[in-house]
Amino acid sequence: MSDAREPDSELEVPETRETVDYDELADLLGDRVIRREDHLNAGGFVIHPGDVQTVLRTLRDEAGFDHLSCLTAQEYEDRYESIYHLSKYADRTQEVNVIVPTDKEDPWNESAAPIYKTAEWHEREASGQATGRRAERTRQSAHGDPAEDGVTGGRGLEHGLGVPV
Amino acid sequence: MFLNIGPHHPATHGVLHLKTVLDGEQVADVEPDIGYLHRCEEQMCQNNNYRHQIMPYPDRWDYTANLPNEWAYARVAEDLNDIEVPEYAQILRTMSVEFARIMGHMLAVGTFALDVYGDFTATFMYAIRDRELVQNILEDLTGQRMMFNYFRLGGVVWDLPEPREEFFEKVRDFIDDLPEALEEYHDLITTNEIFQKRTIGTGVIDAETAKQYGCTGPVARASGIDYDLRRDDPYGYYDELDWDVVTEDGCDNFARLLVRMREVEESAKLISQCVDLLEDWPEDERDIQSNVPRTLKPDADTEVYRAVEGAKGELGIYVRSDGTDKPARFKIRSPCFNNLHSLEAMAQGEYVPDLIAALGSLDVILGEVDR
Repeated sequence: MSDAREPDSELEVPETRETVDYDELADLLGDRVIRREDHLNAGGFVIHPGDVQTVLRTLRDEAGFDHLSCLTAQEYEDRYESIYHLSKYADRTQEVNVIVPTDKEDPWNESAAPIYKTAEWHEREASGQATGRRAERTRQSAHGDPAEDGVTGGRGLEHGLGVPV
Repeated sequence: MFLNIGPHHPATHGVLHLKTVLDGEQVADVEPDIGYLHRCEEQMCQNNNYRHQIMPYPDRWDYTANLPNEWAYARVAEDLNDIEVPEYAQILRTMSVEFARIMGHMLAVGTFALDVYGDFTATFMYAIRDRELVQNILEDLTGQRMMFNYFRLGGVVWDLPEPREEFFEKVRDFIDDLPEALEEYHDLITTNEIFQKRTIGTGVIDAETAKQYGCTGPVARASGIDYDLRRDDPYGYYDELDWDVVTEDGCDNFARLLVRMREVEESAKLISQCVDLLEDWPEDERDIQSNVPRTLKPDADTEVYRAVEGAKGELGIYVRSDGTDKPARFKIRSPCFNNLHSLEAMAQGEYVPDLIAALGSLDVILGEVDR
C-alpha cells in the first residue's frame, strides 16, 4: 500500500483521505470481512465479534495500524456495535474503522486488549456505555477479563451511561 | 500493603482514587478508580442540537485548556455538515487555541512543582501569574476567563477587540516577556538538583509501551514519539506557520515537564505569527464566520471520527447522525483517559512519592477522563 508520506508536498489536500488502499486491506483480511462500510473519515470493515483479535492483529502487524485511537460503543434498535478507530503513529491521516456488531440478547465481542493495551480501559467503559447493563462483555482477554472486572466489581471503571443491574 | 491514595487528595488533581498495592515501600500494582467527575458529557451533547447548543460543553472537558476542545467539536461538526471556515477565522482560532495551550501547560508545570518539590508554592505562584496574563488576553478576546465559548460552527463569535492596536500590543508584551519568564522557571525547576533527583529516571515509559497505551500529546512526545496532530493531520492554519513539534527522549517525569515548557515556546511562536497576519489583514476581508444554515440536519447514518491536538494530546470525537438536528451518538476520545491508563506502567516498582510524581507528570484532568 502507499504508505510513503510526502511531508513537503504542498499539493496534498488533507481533507481527502485516499492514502489508504481499502481494497488491499480487504484482500489482507479475506473472508473475515462481512461487509464494507464508508465513514466520512475512513473506510471500515464489518467483522464477526469472534474475529476481533485476528483482524486487529493483521491490521497492526501487516498494515502498520499501531494506534487504537478510540473505541466507540453504541446501541442500535436491533444490535449493539463497537467501532475500533485505528490509525498510525507514523501517519495520522491513515485511518481504518473496524466495526463489530453484536447480538442484543447475548452481547459480547472478543477483547482487543492483547493487541492494543489501551483497549482494556476502552472496553471496560464500552461495556457499560453501549448496553446500559452488564453486557457486551469482552471475552478472552490476555490478562484476566477487564470487562468482567469492570462490570462485576461494582462501579469500577464502568461509569458509562448505564448502571449495572 | 493495600493503600488508598485519594479520592480526596491534592496530588490527584481532581477527584481520583488510586488503589495501590505496595510490596515493602515499592508499588507492586496501581489501579486508578475513575468516574467521580462523570457528568454525562456525551449524553448532554446527544440531547442538544449541532448548531448552537453543543459548543458550550467542550469547555467543560479539559477545563484548564478549554479552547482546543471547542476545536475538536468544531472540526467534527464542520466535516459532518460540510461547513467552510474563512481563513481569517482560522487564524483567530489558531491564535486563541495556542493561548489556551499555554494556559494548560502553565498550570501543569505549576501543580507538578507543587507535587514533587519542596519549594512551598513559589513555582505554583509564578505559573499562576503567567496563566493570569493569558487569561486576561483571552478575556479581552472572548469575554470569558475560563469557559470561553468562543468557537462557532463556521468560525468564531467575535473579531478582535477594538482598538485592535491595543490588543496587539498586549499580546506582544506578553510574548516578549515570555522568554525571561521561562528562564525563571528553568532557574526554579529544571536546574534545581532536588527537582532533578525527584524526576530524572522516575516514571519511565518507553515509546513502544506508550504506543500500546495509546499515549499522545506531551506524554508521548516525551518518550520520543514524534506525533502531533497539528502537523500530522493538519487543520486550521498550522500548516501555513513556522513551528516545530517538540520531542524529548528521556521517557521520564523530567522529560514530560521539559516538553511542556518547550511547547510553551512553540505556542508563543505560533501566536506571534498569527498576530502579524491579523495585523496586516485587509479590513474588508475580516470574515469571522461563514454562512451556516440555521438548522443542521446531516444525512441519516453518516458517521465521522475526527481528532485535534488538545493540550493533553489527541482529542477525538465520533458522531453518528440520524437525520435529526441532534447527534444520535456522540463519543469523546479523551487523551487524559489513555494517558492515565499508562500510569500503571510508569509506577510499577517505584516508590510512592515517585508514583505521585508520575501522576503529576501525566497532567491528567479528571473532568476530561470521566467526561
